[in-house]
Amino acid sequence: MNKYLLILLAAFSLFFHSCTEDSNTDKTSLNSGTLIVNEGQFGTGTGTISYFDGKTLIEDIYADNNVGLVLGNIAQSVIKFDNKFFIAVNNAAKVVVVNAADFKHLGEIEVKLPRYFAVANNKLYLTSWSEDFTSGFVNLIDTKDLKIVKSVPVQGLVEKMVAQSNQLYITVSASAFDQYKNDVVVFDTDKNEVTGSIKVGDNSNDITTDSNGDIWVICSGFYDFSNPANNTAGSLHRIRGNSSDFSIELPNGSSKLVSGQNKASLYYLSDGAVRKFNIADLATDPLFKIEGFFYSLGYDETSDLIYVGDAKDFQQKGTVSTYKANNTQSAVNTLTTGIAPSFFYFIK
Amino acid sequence: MDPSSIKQNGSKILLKASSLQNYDAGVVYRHMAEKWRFKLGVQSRYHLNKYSYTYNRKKLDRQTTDFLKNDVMTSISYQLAPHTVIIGDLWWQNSDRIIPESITSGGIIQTQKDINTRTRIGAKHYGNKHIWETSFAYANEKLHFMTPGVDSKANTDIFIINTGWTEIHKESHYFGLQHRSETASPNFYTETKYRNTTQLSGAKNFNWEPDFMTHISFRQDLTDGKLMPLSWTLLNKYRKLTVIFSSNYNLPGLNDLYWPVGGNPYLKTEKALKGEIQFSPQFKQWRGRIAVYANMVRDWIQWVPHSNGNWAATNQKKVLSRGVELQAHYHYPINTTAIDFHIEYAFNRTTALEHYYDPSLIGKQLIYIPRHKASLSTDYSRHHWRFHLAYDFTDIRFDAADESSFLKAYHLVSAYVAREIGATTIRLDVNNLLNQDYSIVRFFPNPGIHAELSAIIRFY
Repeated sequence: MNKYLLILLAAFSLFFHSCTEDSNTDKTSLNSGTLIVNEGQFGTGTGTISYFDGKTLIEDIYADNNVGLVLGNIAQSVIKFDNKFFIAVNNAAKVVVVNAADFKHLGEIEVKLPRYFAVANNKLYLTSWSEDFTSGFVNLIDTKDLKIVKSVPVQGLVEKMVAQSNQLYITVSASAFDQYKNDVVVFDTDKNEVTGSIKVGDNSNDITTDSNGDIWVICSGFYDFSNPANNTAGSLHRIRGNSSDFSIELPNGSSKLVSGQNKASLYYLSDGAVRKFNIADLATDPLFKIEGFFYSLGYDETSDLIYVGDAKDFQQKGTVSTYKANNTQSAVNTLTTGIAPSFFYFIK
Repeated sequence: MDPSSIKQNGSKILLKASSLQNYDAGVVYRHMAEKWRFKLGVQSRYHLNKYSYTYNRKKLDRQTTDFLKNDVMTSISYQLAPHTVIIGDLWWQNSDRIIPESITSGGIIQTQKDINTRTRIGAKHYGNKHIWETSFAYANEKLHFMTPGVDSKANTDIFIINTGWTEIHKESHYFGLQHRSETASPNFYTETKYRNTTQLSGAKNFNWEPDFMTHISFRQDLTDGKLMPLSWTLLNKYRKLTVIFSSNYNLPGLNDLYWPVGGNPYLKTEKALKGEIQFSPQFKQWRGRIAVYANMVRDWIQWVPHSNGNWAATNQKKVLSRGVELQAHYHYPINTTAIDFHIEYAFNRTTALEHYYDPSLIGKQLIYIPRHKASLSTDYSRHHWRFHLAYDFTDIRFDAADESSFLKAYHLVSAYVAREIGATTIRLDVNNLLNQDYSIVRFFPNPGIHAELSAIIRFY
C-alpha cells in the first residue's frame, strides 16, 4: 500500500513540477504576434514585455519564462535577429538577450543607456547615450558572443534608425543648443563611421520608409519647460537622395512615425490624436483621426491594425488599443499591459 | 553662581557605530550661570549604509550612500532686565551624499550637497499676565543636486520677522504677527522667484469647567497680496473625550511650481478639512487611546511619474483619508524593576473620491499607504539594565494607482539592551532580527539583520 502511495505522491509532484516549469510560450509560437515593450515605473520600477498573438495577451512574457529574473528599469525597445530577441533596458544599462523560440534568458550585454536597434548589412546596430546625456554612440553588436564590438561616438543623442543601401539614417533628440539640433545623422555600415548629416526640422523624433524608397522623418520641435514662448514648430520631412526635398509644418510635440499599409501612407501622433498622411497626395487626411493622448504608436502590416498605447498616469498598468484604418471610432481590441507601453515590435 | 545650576553644567559625548558602517560622534556642552544660558552642540556622521541584497538570483552589494554630515548648533540667552531676556541661536549644517538609485537601474550616481544656515535673535518680555516675544530670523539654504543629466543648484534666502503676545490668565490667549520673505535663485529658473507672506494668528482657551475646555485657533495668511484660505482648529475636551475639527491649506512650494522638469506652474492650493474623535481611557496600570478620524483633502499635491517618464507635481482632485488608531500601554513597577507593554494598531483608507482625468481610480487606495499597521513592544528595566523588544507589522502597499501591483507585507523584530555604568550609558541595538527581505519603495531594498553600538558619556 505504502509503495503505491509513494508512486502516487511522486506522480503528483512530477505533475506539479512540470506545471511550475511550464510557460505560456510552450503553447504559443513566437514566429508571429506583437511584443509590447512596457517601460515600467520610472526610477523605481522594472520594465516588462507583453505578448499579443491577436487573440490573447501574455502580460509579462519575460517574467513568465524566466522565474526570479527581473528585466530592469525602463525597457526601451526590442528587435529579433539571429533567432534571438534583443531587449534594450535603458536605465539598467544593458541589453537583455532571450531565445526567440521560448523567450528564455540567454545573456546580457552591458551598454550605458541603450535606445533603439536596426539591422543593416546583415548586422545588428544599437544606438545609446553617454552617461552625461550630451552625446551618443552607434554600437555594432556581436550577436554570437553577445558583446559590443564597435562603438562609434556621435555628438548627439542618437535615437531611432532606418536602414537603406547599407546606410543607417538616425534621428537625434536635441535641444536648441546641440550640434545636431535639426539633423538626421547618416552612418555607413560598410565603414562603420558617420559620413554626414541631413538637415530636417528641430529635434528629429522618428523615422520610417515608404513604398517609393524615400525616407520620412518627424520632428517634434524644441520644447522649453521654463518658457513655452521659446517652443518651435514640429515638422514632417521627406528625404530623397541626400536631402529633405519636401516638408510640412506640424504642431510642437508631434512625434512617432510609422508606415501604413503597403507603405503608401504614414501614421503619426500630433495634437492629441493619431493622424494619417497620404504619400501620393503629400497631405494629411483631414477625415482620419483617432483621438487620445497616446504614448506609443505602431502599425501591423499582417493584421492591418493600428496600435496605440496609453500610459495613463505612469503609475498604473497601461492599455493598448488596436484600430482598423477604416474605422477609427471603435477599437478592435483594448488590452491591459504593463506600466507605460512605449514600443511595439511586430514579429516576422 | 546658583549651586543648583552646577549639575546642569558640563558636557555630553555621543558615540555610535553600526554594522552598516555608519559612524556618529557628537558633543553637547551646556553652561548656565546667573544671567547666562549657553549651549553648544557639534555632531559629525559618516554613513556608508553598506549591505547586500538579492537581485536576479545574485547576491549584490547595495550602492553606498557615503553620507557625510556635520551639524553645529549653538544657543545663548541673557537676562537683560528682571523681566526681559534676549535670545540668539545659530544652526549650521553641511551634508554631502550619494542618493542610491533603484536596483533595477544601471548604477548611475546621483549626488546631493546641502549647506543650511539658520540664525535668530530675539527678545522675550515677561509681564505679570503676559509674555511678549519678538524675533528676527534669517535662513540660507544651498542645494546642489547632480546626476549625469542634471546639474541643479539652488540658493534660497528666507527672512522672518515675528512678534507674538500671550496672555496668561485662567483662559489664556495668544496673538501673533509674522512676515516671511523668501527669495529663490536656482540655476534652473528663468528668473529669481520671490514669495512674501504676512501671517496673523491667534488662539484662545475657554476653561468652562475643571474637566471641560475648548480651544480655538486660527491663522490667516496674505501671500504675495492674495488672501489665502483661513486655517482654523476647534478642539473640545470633556474628561477623556476629545473632539477636534480643523481646516488647513498647503500652498505649492517653489520647487512644486518651477522645478525644471516636472514643476507645475498651474498647481492649485491644497485644502484639507479634518475631524477626529479621541477617547483616552485609563484603568489601573493601563492607559489607552482610541482615535477615529477623517481627513478630506482637495487638490492633494503629489509628485507622480508622468509624461516621458519624468516625475511631475500634480493635484489629486479629492482624497478622503480615514482610519482608526488604537494604543494601549501597561506599566508595572516593582521596586527597582519595571515592565512596560505597548500595543498599537492603525487602520487607514486613503482613496480618491474624485479624479481629474481617470475616473477608474476613484475608490482605489493611494500608492504606498498601508491599510494596516501594528506594533507590539515590551521594556524590562532592573537596576542599571534595560531590555527592549519590539515587533512591527506593515501590511501590503500598492505601488500602482489601479491597485494592480503591491509590495508584500513585512514583519520587523528589533531589540536592544542598555546598561548604565556611572555617568555612561552603553547600548546595543539589533534591528531586523528575522532578517526580512523587504522594501519600503519597490526595488529599494532595506538592510537585513544589523547591529548598532552606542555610548553616551556625561561629564557633569
